[in-house]
Amino acid sequence: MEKQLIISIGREYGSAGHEIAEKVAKDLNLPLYDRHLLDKLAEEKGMNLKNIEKYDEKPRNLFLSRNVNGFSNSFADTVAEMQFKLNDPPKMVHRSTEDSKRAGIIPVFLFFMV
Amino acid sequence: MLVAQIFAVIIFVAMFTMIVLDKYEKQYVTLGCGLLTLIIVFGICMQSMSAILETLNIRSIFTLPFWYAGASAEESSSGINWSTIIFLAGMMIMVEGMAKAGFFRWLCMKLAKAVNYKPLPLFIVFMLMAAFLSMFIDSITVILFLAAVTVELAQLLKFNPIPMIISEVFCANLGGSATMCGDPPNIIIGTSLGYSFSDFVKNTGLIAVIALVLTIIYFFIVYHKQLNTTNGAAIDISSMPDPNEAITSKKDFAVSCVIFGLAVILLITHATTGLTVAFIGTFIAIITVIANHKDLKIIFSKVDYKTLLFFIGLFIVVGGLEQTGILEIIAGFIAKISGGNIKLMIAIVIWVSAIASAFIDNIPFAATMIPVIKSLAATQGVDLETIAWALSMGTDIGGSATPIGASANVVGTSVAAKSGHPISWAEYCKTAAPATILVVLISMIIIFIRYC
Repeated sequence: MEKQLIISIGREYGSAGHEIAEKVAKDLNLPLYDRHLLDKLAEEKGMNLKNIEKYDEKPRNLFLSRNVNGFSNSFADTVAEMQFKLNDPPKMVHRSTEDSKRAGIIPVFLFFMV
Repeated sequence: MLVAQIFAVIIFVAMFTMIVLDKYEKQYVTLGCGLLTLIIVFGICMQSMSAILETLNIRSIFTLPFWYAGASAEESSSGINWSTIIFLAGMMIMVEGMAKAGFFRWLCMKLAKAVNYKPLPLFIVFMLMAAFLSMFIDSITVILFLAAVTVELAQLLKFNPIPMIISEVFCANLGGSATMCGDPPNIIIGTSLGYSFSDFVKNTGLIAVIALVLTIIYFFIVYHKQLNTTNGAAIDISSMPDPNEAITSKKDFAVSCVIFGLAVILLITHATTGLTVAFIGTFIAIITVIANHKDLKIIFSKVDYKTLLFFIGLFIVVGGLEQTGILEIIAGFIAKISGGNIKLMIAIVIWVSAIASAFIDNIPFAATMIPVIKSLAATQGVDLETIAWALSMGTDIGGSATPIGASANVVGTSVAAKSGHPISWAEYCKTAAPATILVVLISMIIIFIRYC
């Protein structure tokens, strides 16, 4: 896989994490992927945004889901994977670290804003 | 022995729990638990080198009956079932060769063209194809290609692919029950109990064909309104993908067709020729490798080694239960509940297998149940074949009821979700669970009428 610079920023409410992410992306000249990924996903797949939002950043149900050779019946897993595959490999992702890992992408830098 | 039994059960339960929780890759789980079985159960508790050797079962590979035997030759059911592993590996290599040549996509598109891309005939033809291909090829591969083509055609023809994918998955699982090599539980049952390809065709095959006709009628009644979307509007066939575009190389395509045909002939005739499934798997793998010697890297990189390792670990853990006599205790329990009533015993085996397989992986379940049914046959006078067909139908069909019951279901729902058509548990079970109950019921009735 091509070497990537990925910065994952988690945050608490009021921590200005989003603003910081925007500034870092601008300073480092990296594309920023945030919640709008879902809008793009809904548009591209012709799906209802609300249906996708329900599963965004949600853990999969351990007893009701199964993984076979990288295929999962959990829509939460699929939503996470689709977001990361929507564009070229993401460079700057303002999404949860858990989602990055689930999509098989290991962020290089992890920050959590409090 | 009691301590060994306790540890064997603890390791088995831990393995099953970890498989269900899916936190670690399944092959690490079974191999780790297999190692613990060898060390703790056989080494420390039983201090039995013979139990270790019997479970590893490596010696069997170097015997003539492993490669060439009469169809009735029974292989050891204790420990690692190398026949199953070698056969699966061979078929995986063959399937990768076929996929590389574009065989599956070509077949799907060719059939779609043959029915003029009309959703309802397409729906029936794809169900039949899913069932037929799954008789010889693993259902994951069949659904991977079929669901992908279904999604593509659904976009072009503007129909909802979900009903079609659910029906295809169901028929793939049903088709797998018809033959010895269709579904992993059948390969394990066949090689462990010495049944041939034709034994399965004559018994579970007959049940599967009857069930398939009823299944197609059932899904047609349930889904025909949803699929009848074109309202008689003409379909522009020229805008559809050309089946021949799927073929990456005409030579590879022809060769892969010949190898597939040869595999089918060898499997159908293996009772007459005396060639074992291990031999057939190895032979097919060798000719695929020779035919694709330039692309070996691509083929071998796609072989599912994880599943093969998963099997090795699984057989060791089940061997722990067998060597410590736990499975005989379970068999005794089933015999006690049924009070010696053979019909009740068969009903318990088929329904417990079906319900368990709806929620847990049917492969470990089948592997565990084989020594149990052997013990039941030996002690209760029930015909081993009859109870083996009940186990086969229960494990193969039960997995169709839920989105996690069988590997094909997971792959089908995942392909649908990635195309923007998520299938919820409720949506899946609403049609698949009644169909599963229907088919298990039909299977039980046929077994009762024919064998009891």
